[in-house]
Amino acid sequence: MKSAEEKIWNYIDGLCSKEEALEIERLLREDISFQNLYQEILSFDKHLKSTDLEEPSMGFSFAVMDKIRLQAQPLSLKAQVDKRIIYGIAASFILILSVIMAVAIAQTNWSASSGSFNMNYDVFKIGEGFSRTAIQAFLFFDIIIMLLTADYFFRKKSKLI
Amino acid sequence: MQQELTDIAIIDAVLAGDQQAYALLVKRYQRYVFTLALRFTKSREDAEEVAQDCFVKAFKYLSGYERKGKFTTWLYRIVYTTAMTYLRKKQVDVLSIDDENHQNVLDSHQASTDLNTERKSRDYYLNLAIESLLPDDASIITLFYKGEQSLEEIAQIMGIEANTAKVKLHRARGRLKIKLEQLLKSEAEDLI
Repeated sequence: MKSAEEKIWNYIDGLCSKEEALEIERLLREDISFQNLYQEILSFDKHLKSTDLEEPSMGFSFAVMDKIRLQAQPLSLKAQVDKRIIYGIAASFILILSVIMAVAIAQTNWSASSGSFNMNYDVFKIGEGFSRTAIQAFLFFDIIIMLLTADYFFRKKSKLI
Repeated sequence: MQQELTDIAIIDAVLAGDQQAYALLVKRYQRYVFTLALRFTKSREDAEEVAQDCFVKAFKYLSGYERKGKFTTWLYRIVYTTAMTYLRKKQVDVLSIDDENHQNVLDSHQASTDLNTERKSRDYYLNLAIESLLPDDASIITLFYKGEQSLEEIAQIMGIEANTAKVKLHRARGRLKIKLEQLLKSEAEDLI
């Protein structure tokens, strides 16, 4: 249950519902004590709004700029990597790994009839379904992704406040 | 909105290499940052140090401002965390001033301040009452009334839920009202 004071503050701040606002307006018309409390709070609110901010010393901005001259220039926004690009790269990375895993699993001899489980597949045979150039492109792409991810990670770490 | 665009234009200029453009942001927000810092430090010298530190930090990490919200919300978040760190380091006595201390502060201010007009007097006592509040109470009132921050933005700055910020603001105003009444009462007794 909200107190009358809390209701009035919410009304003044514009934080109450339409029903609550109508109820307060009704009380303001009918209840003298509620009206007095409202006027008191409204006057206090106006007073709070009208107070001045504190003023720092005259040389404040000069002192700040002096300190800033010793700082390194902040990174340009152009140097930042969009998060969507990172997520896209991560998704591609996972997809490529999944495809390679799927091909590897498909080539594994799961037959147990010979009494032995053969997992000795040729690494280069994994790529039988792909051309050599495609595999090289995949590996090159993976290296680029790894470098970009590492760059993003270290950049983010150095930016933490 | 216009204000926000202008802030972003300055930020773009700074990030493009125009370091001097940052002075515009400092001049624009120095009073807000200083006032907020003062709510924690309770001393003008320390508040200047904290406020300067905040602007330097903001410059250093300017590219980290993601432009999803107001620049001021991001800046005040830095002020809030820096001031909290300052309090922890200095172990400043953050307890509110008791009545006796109020009177001492009152006396010292009375000697040096001209309180001729009613408005000036009311502002003086209100500022004194805000100064005597706990840092959290004083800063939430400053952010809401002077920093032009919504409850959601205050919640972001203080790292709390919006509903908690609403309750905190309500309680802070209640405590401020009581402090102000106490101050004015002691002043009236002095006059009698």
